[in-house]
Amino acid sequence: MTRNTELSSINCTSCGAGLDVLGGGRVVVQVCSYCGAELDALDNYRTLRQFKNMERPKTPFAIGMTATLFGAEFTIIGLIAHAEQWAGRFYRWIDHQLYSPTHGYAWLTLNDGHLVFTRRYRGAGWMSEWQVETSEQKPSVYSEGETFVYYETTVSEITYVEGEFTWSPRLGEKTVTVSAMSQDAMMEFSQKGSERETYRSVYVPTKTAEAAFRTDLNLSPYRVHPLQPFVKGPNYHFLLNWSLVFASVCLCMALYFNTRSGYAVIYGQTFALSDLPAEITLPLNANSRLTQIDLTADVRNSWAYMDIALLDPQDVPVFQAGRTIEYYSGRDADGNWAEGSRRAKLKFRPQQTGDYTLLLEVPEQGLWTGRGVGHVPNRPFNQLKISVTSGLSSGLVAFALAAIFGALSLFQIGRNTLHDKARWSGSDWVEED
Amino acid sequence: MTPFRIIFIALSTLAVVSTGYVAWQGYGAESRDLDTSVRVGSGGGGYYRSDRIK
Repeated sequence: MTRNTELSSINCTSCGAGLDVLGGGRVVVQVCSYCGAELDALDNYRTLRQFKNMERPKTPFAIGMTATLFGAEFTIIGLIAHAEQWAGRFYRWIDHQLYSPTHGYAWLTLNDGHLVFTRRYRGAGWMSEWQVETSEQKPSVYSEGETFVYYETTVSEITYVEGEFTWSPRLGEKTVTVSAMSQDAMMEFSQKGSERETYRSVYVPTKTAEAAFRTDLNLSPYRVHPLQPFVKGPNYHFLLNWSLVFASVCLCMALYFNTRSGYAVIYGQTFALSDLPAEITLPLNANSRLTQIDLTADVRNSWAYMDIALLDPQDVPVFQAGRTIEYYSGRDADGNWAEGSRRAKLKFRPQQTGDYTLLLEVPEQGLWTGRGVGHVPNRPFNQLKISVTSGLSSGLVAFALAAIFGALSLFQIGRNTLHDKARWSGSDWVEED
Repeated sequence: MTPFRIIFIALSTLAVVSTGYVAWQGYGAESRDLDTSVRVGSGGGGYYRSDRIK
C-alpha cells in the first residue's frame, strides 16, 4: 500500500502545524518537526506515538533543501540523529533522508564535518557480527569487482527523528552495523531484530556538496574520514618526478666528484725511522682545490703517533695536526681477528701558490703485547710512506642536496601512505596474537 | 607551467649549480682537527730531538 502521491502538504493531526509532504509514495510515517508526533502516512496521518524531549542536532541541512547529487535531483525529507557509546566516548552523526522521483531514496550522512552518500545495496555479500568475532584474520567480502575489508562494528541508537521515512523509526532503537571498506566505498551490513539491510556509501567532498546544494555549508571536517579520498594536489606528480630528477643529478655529481683522482704532488715517498723528523717540500697552487696527505706505515701490533705541521711559502705556520697509525691482529677462540688501519690522511685547501713545507715527526710509538696478539715486531715500524695529491673535489655537499631532493620525493609518496593510514586509524579491528 | 613550478625548477637548478661549484672546489671536506692557531716560535723540540728545551 502506498501513500497518495498527489498530497503536497498536511496539518499535523496532533498539533495542527503545517507540514510539507516531500517524499514519494513509499513513505509510511511522518514525524512532525514541531511536536514530535509520529503520523501514519498510510492512515490519514493519525498520530501513532509522540517523541518527546528530543534535542535537535546541529546540521546545515533542513527538510525541503534540494540538491543534484550523482546526476539526480534529491530533496531532504527527513533527519535521524544517531549516537554510539564506545570505549568511554560518545559518537554522534546525522542521517538526512533523501528522495528523488527518478532515483528513489538515499541518505546523506553528516559525521564530524564529513559528508557521505548512502544508498541501499541489493547485491550479494554479507558480513555478520559472528563472522567478525570468530575470524582470526580481518574478514572481507567481494562484491561487483571490489573487495571490502572489515572496518568496524557499530551499535547505535536513534536520538532524534524528524520528517518522512519509508519505515517506522523508534527513539532508542538499537541497530548493529558491521562496516567493511574498499578503496572507494563502504558497505554497511545492518541488522535490526531479524531484518537485514545492506548499504553502500561513498564520500562527498564539501565543495561538491556546496555546489549541489548551491549554498555554503560552513562545515569543518575533523581529521580524515575513512572514505575520504587522497587528494594529490595539482603539483603532486610534478614534485615527485622533478625531485627525483634533481636527486639523481646530485647523486651523479657527488659520485663523480668523490672519485676524481686529482694529480700527484709527491707519490709514495718513503722515510725510514732514522730519517725522521723530516721536512718535505710541497709545490702547491692556490686554486688547486682540495689537497690530501696520505700516510702509510708498516705497523703490526704496534702504533705510531705523528706530529704534522705545514708552513706556507713564507714559512708561516698554516696548521698543526696529529695522526695515529695503529694495526693489531691475532687469533682467539673465534678465529683470526684484526683491527685498526695502517693508513691515515688529512685534507686542507692551500691558499697560496708556492713551495709549502711539510714537517713530519714521530714523537711517540710503541708495541702491543696484549692477550691473543699475533706476531710482535722488534720495532713499531720500519718505514713511513707519504703521498700528497692535489686538485681533489668532494661530493659531500652534493650527497646532502641529493638527500634533500630524495626526501622531498619520498614525502610525496609518503603522503598517500600516511593518508591511507589515517583512513584506517578508526578501525576497531585488533590483531590477537 | 605554473609560477610555482617555474620557481621550483629555477631555484632547484640554482641549488644544483651552486652545490656543483662547492663540490668541485672541495669545500666542506677539509679535515676538522687541524689546529690553525699556531704561533711562530720554538717548536718545543720533542723527545727525540737534540734541540729540546728542558
